Amino acid sequence: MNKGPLDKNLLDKFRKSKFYKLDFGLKEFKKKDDIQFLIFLATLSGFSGIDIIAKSEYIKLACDEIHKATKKSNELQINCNPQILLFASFGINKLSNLKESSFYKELDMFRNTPFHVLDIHFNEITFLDNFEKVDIICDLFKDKIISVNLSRKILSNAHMIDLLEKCFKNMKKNLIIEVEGMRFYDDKFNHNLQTISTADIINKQFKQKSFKYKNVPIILGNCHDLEIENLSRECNVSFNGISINYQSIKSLFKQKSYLYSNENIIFSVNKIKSKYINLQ
Amino acid sequence: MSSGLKNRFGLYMDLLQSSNYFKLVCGAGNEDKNEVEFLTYVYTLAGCAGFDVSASPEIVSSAKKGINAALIKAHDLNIKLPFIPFITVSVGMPGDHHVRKALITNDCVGCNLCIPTCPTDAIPENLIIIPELCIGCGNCEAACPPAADAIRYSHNSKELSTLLPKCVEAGAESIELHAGVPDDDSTMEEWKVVSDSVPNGMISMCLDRKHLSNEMLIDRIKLAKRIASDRLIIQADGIPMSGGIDDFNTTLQAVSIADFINKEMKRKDKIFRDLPVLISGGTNSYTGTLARKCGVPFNGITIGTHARKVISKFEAKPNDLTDEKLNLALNNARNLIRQNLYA
Repeated sequence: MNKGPLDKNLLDKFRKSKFYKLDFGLKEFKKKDDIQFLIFLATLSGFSGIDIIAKSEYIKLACDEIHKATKKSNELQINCNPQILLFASFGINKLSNLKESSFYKELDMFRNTPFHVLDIHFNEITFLDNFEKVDIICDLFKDKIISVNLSRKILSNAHMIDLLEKCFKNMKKNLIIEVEGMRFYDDKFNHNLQTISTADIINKQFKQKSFKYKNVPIILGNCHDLEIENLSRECNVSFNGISINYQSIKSLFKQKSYLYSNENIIFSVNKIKSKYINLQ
Repeated sequence: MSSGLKNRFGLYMDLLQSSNYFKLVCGAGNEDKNEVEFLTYVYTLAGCAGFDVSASPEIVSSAKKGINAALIKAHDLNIKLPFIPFITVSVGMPGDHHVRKALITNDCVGCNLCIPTCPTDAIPENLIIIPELCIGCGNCEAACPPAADAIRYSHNSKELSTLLPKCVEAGAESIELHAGVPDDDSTMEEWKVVSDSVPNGMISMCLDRKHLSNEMLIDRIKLAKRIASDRLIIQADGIPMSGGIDDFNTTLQAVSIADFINKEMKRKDKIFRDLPVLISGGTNSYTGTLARKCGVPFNGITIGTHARKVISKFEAKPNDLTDEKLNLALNNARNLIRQNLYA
């Protein structure tokens, strides 16, 4: 599975800001069935992307669940997306202090697994002084799309723009930006404020700076629901997609009776759709 | 500390802790004495709590003149002013936007695109920028064609240890350091000079996220607190001097940085619980509304470009301003304060 060109359907979703992604980020899980059911239901609900840690067993698991859900959608006559983008999340901090050989080994462990987008979390500042590592990653994964995952925790506005310009040089049209606000806060509206203000900086200081950057999609990351759409609209901050934190969807399902019958599956899918997919 | 000073310090703290502090920013780089006198005159009558002016004894005197003229006028018009506003002088680290002056180099192609973008009319047709009017906003740089790239900046380096005492002598009660630069060591050296210049007054550090990540911002505030103790005010700056347009988008960054400081410092660490945070940098009539909507508490709001713009068409020497025009200007100024602090 390589990226191929982003198909028309996906590009259209980005253009209309209707790209929804289920996000597990860099988290690893003791119980895999916790994530299996969420991927299965999200695929059936019409999510356009699944984002999971860049480890071969997780990527394989996600592919299997997407496949199962697609088959189920035919049986239940539910319209789900013909192509789901599979994101593999990777923390740049894993590469700091690694020598060249170990560096390649770390990346090789999942390089040939079937995902579409490498989601690089820039969670370590040292790469700014050693940008060749990012160049090497872009080169190694040139058959994939690269998603640059940014927050202002360790990056200043100037750092973010510098980083995006460098990544664009390597990836051109195969670049996606994902922005995150502040993690670990209960008050969603405030998290949204940090996320959209980061997107606003990227819109103004990167996307609007040059015509060539205009179409790079921005995904609002680690969201808990669609309230962020309202605040973005009021503040006139444009974006192309929303990434929903898995915990938020998981909290809808206290019991795992969701798979016991087709009726339960349809009920669960409708529940997710009504809360996380804006079809208007 | 004399009782007079104590009272002024207490009043300042009360205004901050009751979130009633509205400050007009005349501009760290604004050395237009007439404009400063006009702005301080109108906004004192409108109930403004403080003014931020360039670090120049002459400009501080102009601000004092404007305030004194307003006190006399208030008496004539029977306006009750609850306090005399505070004057803060602004200084900045080399490289900070607030204290730079633009220059047009020989690479200029004479397209004149920069002229209409200047908010203070500092670029005449001969394209030699008038330094007294330039506020360093960077609009000219944004308009300059990349192929020409003809805008550069100079930093009017000031010897703070001799300049600041003169400003204090002229009537400044508080000092603000614009510290939106990456280097902590040099910033702290200047901050110490600022602190020593008004040992009994509030001192404010103005920070934005252009060169500072969230983690760097926290570290900077912690260092500032060590020197300033309870006299520290943080001015959370969205995008410096970006408040030309009056909408939510323009003020988003200002509210967002204040939100971050509230959460990461005021809520988490009791030492910072009472740290006054002023919102600035892209502030306008929507700032208070957006902050309230997003649950972002603040101790005050400081407005520059937008606050000057809403009364600019009435600009005149206080004695030449008719009562009719004064009332119109006051109405606009009062509305702006009300919308932000009380709406």
